Amino acid sequence: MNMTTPKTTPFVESICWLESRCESVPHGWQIAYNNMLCRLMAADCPARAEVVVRGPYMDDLNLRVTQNTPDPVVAGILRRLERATAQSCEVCRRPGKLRCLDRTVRVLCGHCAGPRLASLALTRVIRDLDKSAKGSPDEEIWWESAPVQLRPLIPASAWQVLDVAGVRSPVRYTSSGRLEEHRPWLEAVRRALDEAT
Amino acid sequence: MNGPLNMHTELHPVRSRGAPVCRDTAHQLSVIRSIVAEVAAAMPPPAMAAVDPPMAFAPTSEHHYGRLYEPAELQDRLLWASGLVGETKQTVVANLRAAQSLGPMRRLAAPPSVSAVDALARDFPHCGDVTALLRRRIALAHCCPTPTFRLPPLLLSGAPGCGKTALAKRIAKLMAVPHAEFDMSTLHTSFSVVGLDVGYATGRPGRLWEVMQHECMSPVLILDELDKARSDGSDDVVGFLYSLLEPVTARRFTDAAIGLAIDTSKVNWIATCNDLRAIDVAILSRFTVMEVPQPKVHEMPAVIASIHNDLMSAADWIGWFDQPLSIDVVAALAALSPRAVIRAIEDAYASAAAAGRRVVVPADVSDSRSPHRSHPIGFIHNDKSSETRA
Repeated sequence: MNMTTPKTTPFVESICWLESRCESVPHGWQIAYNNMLCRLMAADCPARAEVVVRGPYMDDLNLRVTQNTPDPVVAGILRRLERATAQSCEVCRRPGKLRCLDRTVRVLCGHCAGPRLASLALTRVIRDLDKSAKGSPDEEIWWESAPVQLRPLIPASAWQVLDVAGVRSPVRYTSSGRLEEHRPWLEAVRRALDEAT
Repeated sequence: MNGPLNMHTELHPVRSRGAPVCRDTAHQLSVIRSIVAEVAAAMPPPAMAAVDPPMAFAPTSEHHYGRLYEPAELQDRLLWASGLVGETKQTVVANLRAAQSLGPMRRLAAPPSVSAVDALARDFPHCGDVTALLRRRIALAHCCPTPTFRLPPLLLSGAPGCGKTALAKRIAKLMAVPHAEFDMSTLHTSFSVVGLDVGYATGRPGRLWEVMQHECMSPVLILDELDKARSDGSDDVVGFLYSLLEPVTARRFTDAAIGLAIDTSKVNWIATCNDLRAIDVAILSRFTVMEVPQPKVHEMPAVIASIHNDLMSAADWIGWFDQPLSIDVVAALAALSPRAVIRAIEDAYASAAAAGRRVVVPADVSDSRSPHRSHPIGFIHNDKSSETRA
């Protein structure tokens, strides 16, 4: 058994640095991140002493760690992290995918994305209500083109049916003018959605 | 990869084999419904909309996109253009590079809002057929998850000064897409529209190519005074319309200078004319002809209000006067045609200014209709004048 103190290499030091940054990684990705650290430690050998890993960086798609020299084993470990974080929810670790929120993109599962997307859609609707109150022309919301998350939030009485000759299925739409009377309900739902996220 | 990439591939990372597939609309809705149920328990809920059966589709983006050109064909043309020389090479390469920088995928027009069409119907009360057509097309556009809007080629026919061109411009404005106007009465060749081969000294791309170099591939093109188009003998001025108004052939329109096939089938054509008989039957059959009548007297107040509003935003001096126009002045203007109203309003304000008044009175309104020309200029006389002479 080798009783001497293990020599610290740039590779190990950089892994320790990554370990110290673990708290900054979103909760849902921490297991994948820790797995990567374990794999990197297991890959430590004299041949990789000079390899330095840097990060973690939040790419627009996923979590990313880079290396200074192209080592295929380290590259494989880092690629595995990227792939895992691109496909798992950054909040709860369930399978997820990239979602466009208002000005950001996040990898989220359906459970976490639903309330956020619904809140976003509802915020736009309430913003249109505010504009209409100031005299802007009404904005229409068409059932077919409305976000799926928004549809269950709008009261049935607010939808109007447009009969079009030659079109079999009824075309439903509503407008900010008609939604104005349901404003308290919409704002209460938005508050609840925001609290849930 | 040699083949063209579609939008989905460009926007999303490729999923690795064996990874869990994430189709989670049902999960999203179940969470949302549970939150809504909690809110409903706390406050009296309105009747909630029934959620559709599982969606066959999910809206992917706010706007739908179309492919303007094939990237491989553009590369071929760039290769061809590299063999050209001088200014010709610069022109062609610059145009191809500009098209390349904008990318092959371009936005398609979204349907205008119903309230915008309502405003159009209010300002053009005599164009009920056109606004009805717009409403039908909007309803049709909303029958798909990513609604895109396209007008059939429209030919607005009517007497001079009844507001056809203004209506065409207004439609272009409410569609919120780029638009261009072609004055067909001054167009002597089709080169300026469809381009001229760069083998000629004056060869350059046409205006259609220029209009299509935009992030939107559904511009509105207004062909004003289509019946006044005159051919110079060697070139049929309106010949390009035969292929451009047919969706099948318009999908591969090629500018004579650039030589790259582009999809112009999403272009919205609006033409105006006074006399349908002066237009070739084959072109006429490609248009949806809509009659624009002179506004009736009871429709004129809305037309006058619309013209006056346009004038208020355009004329700097109008702030000096008291607004709005009195009922008596509107009544005096109602006897004129919309085009004459534009002149008459300006003349009325000028008369009021000359008299030192801030208010226009009915006496300021003069009849601005052009005086009937009793003797036509030139050697060709119409039947009526010939009869008179006889």
